[in-house]
Amino acid sequence: MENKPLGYIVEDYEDSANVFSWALEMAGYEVEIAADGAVAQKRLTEIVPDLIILDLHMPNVPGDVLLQQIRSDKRLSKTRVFLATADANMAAQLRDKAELVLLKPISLIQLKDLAERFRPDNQG
Amino acid sequence: MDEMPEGMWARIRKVLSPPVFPGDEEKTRVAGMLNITLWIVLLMVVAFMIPAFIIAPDLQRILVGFVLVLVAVGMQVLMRRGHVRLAAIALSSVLFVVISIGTYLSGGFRGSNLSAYFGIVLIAGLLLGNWTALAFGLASVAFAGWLVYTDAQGLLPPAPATATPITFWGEFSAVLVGMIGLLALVMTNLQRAYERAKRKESEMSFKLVESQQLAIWAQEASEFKSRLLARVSHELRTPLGAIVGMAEMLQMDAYGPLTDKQEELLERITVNSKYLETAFSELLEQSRIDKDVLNMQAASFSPARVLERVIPDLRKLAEQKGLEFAIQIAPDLPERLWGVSISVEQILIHLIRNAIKFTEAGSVSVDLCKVDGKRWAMRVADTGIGIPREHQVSIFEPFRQVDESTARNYGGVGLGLSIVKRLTAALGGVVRVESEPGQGSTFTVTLPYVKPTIEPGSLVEKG
Repeated sequence: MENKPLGYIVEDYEDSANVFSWALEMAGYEVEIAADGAVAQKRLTEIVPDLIILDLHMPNVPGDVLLQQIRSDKRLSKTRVFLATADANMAAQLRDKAELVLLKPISLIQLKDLAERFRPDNQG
Repeated sequence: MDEMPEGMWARIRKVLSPPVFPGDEEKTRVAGMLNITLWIVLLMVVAFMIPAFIIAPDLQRILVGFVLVLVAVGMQVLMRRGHVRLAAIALSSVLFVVISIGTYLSGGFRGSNLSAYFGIVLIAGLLLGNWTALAFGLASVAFAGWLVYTDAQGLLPPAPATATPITFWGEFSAVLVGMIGLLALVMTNLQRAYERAKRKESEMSFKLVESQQLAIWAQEASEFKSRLLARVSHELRTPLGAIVGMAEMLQMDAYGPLTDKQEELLERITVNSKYLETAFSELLEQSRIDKDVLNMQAASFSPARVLERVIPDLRKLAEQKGLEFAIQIAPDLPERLWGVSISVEQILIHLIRNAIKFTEAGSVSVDLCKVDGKRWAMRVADTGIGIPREHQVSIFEPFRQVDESTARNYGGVGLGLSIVKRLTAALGGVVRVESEPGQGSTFTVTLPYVKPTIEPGSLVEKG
């Protein structure tokens, strides 16, 4: 079996998480979902995803804190992060810390295209 | 009495009562007192001069009576024409002259003359304030001094036989009455000045407290509004994202082929979701401008890069409608400009989206160019429905579109251009529209080009 890149979705709103997951699957990713910041924090010490879709408003550990930790973790230095948020204010503040900032509502097709473009085997 | 015409009393009362000057309390007050003084003078002339004239007519009395009547009537006229101060000064002066002549002719200075001068000082003080009273007081002292000196030289005309002989108590009581009157005058004026100052102070402190409170309320209301908008729009966007995503999933036939009707309904779901999305974006952005975009720091940025960021999505939108889409950057536009690049980006997005929204056929073109040594401009032109002249100002107001049906037909909540206007103003620029209904519109945003002087701590955009 071929080695699929790993996409990790951190999003507490289940329907949104599902839509993100379809998009990543269509883009050829293996997908795992976390609905809680604290769960994601723990899980990220075990796995090294190629792409993380990170919601900013989350229970327990908020997205921006998680982003800070991801960015300071050497293990995850090659991991790409898309921020998904409905808060344009936070999006503007964190613009530099993530590969992309996506303002909700996010189009499934758009996310699929972007995830494809950012696949590790697709980088020129 | 019954035959007296209706309104006769009213007319008499009107003649007797002082003029009122609306909005000028002080003038009205002086006019009130001057009016009483003038009528008293007239009454005195009538009550004393006429009988005295009948009993023992002499030229001096006729002259004095005539002058006083003339003064009383003349000053009334002057006062009723609005020259209240002038009338008061003239009255005091005439009385001063008349009494001075009388004193001179009565054969010497005495206490009763002194109290007449006190009377003038009193009238002048009540009508015109302490300084005028002081001036008349000094004039009286000067005249009295001259009179006493002349008397000592024996140069005064002899006193008439009817003059009252001088007694100590008569002199003393006359002086006492005058002194008490003067003291009362000074006290009254001081009291009035104190009350006026106090009233002004309390009015001012009340106004200050009131304006501070209003400022606090306005601030709180504005912050609450921003938070509410951000919150509402956030809570609505998240589920909307799920709706859009799921509809797209079905449209891609991910769960089997769709019938035509299903396709059509899904299309409507997508269109309506897009409408909601645009509305939320505008609301959210408005709240963001209120909050902090206006405080953002200017930095050096590349206009070409701003265009690169915003154009792809918008070009797609234009192509979907079959519109021609052209972009041009004038070669003489500097490669780097100074300003808040996010604001510039937002202005462009709103103007271009607007142009595409209201254009059914033809083209949308975007030009960036240099205006002069100090300014550059972004110009977005379309061949759309255009804007009637009478709406060309109001379209920049929040929640305004040309008419209600515009919102339904074209989407958006009518905040786009108001956002453009506010961002442009925050950047120190102006936005202008030229439009001909049916021909199209051209929006021009002119922004100052400030030479980038690198200050410590200033932001310079990467790349």
